Amino acid sequence: MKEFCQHLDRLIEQPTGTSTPETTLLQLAGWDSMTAMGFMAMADRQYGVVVSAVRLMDAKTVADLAALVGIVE
Amino acid sequence: MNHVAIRDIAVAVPTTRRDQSAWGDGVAAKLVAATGVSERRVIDKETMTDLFEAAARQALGHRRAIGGIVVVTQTPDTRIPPTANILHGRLGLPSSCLAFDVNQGCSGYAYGLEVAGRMVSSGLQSVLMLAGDCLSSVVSPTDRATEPIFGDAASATFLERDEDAPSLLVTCGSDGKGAKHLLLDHGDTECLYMNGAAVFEFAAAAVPAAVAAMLDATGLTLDDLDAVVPHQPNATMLEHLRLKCGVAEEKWITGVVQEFGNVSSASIPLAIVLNETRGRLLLVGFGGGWSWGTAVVDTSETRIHPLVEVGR
Repeated sequence: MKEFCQHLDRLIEQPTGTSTPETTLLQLAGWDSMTAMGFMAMADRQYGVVVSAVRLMDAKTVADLAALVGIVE
Repeated sequence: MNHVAIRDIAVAVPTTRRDQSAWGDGVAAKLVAATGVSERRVIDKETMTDLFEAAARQALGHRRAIGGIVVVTQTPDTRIPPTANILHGRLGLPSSCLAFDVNQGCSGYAYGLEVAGRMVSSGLQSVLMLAGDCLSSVVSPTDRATEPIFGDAASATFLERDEDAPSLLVTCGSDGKGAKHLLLDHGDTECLYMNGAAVFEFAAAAVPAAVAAMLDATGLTLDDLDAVVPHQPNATMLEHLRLKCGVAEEKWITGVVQEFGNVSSASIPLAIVLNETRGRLLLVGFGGGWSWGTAVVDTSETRIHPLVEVGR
């Protein structure tokens, strides 16, 4: 999960530690509709998962995003 | 299919440039970073038919005794008649020349090669295949998913029967379950809807599979090809697809999106024109429908015309 949050912080160009599992996507600076494609590319590259677009749109928190690539805590 | 030579490829774009400044500095910078699209060409006074005519005249030169004209577009100026028939009149083509449109978007270059190539392969002496769109005219100015990305362009590809031509291989496919994700309803006030994440999900699976299937079917490897020319939707997706397809950077032809955006079915020929890409090429288009198509073509002997610009 820690590594996932680091990948996410890099993607949204925020300092390491910005994302935590509990952070909601609405709170997350740098996360918006334009980030979705970058997230899907990162998920595929780092985790070998083609994320479902429908499930991505349902995600509310960083933990939800992590679950999409198979990381559950 | 056999006996089909690609004689000419030409592309026309409008002169009017539109950058991302209308979105405001912060959003514009983010849009450029996310998509790689700094600006695109958009029609102003000129029409889609004007773009097609300019590309067609460039590709045809003085030739008029052709067997068919096929236009692939989703943004015709008129619903009736087909754009191909309007161009038939404008270009002064003979009455024996058949004319019709094909409704297909970002996969449309492969679909056009499939249709026009089979016509030539089965006996017609020549076919002019035109592919392009002016999606700038159907996007909402406030829709970040579409407005910043799409540009306008028209391509013309002249196919002629030639007993000695290298074989032309095309495979097209579709998956109608994706229809709702890229949609433009009838009605003058409707705007294009695109679910970008769904497009990404589709492309990440379909494009590598289509490329692998074409290589498998032909017995070719990437080493046998001089280049792979993908449809050019945006920089992020292009680089991702390159990695997924396992194509080396120098063989993956890009260079369209930064100045022209996503120009739908004209993107593959525009990439070929801008890079003067010659040799044995694998083309791969994909988009709304869902639909996709791959083609192995040989442009070693093709006249690749310099970019044509249309406008005042």
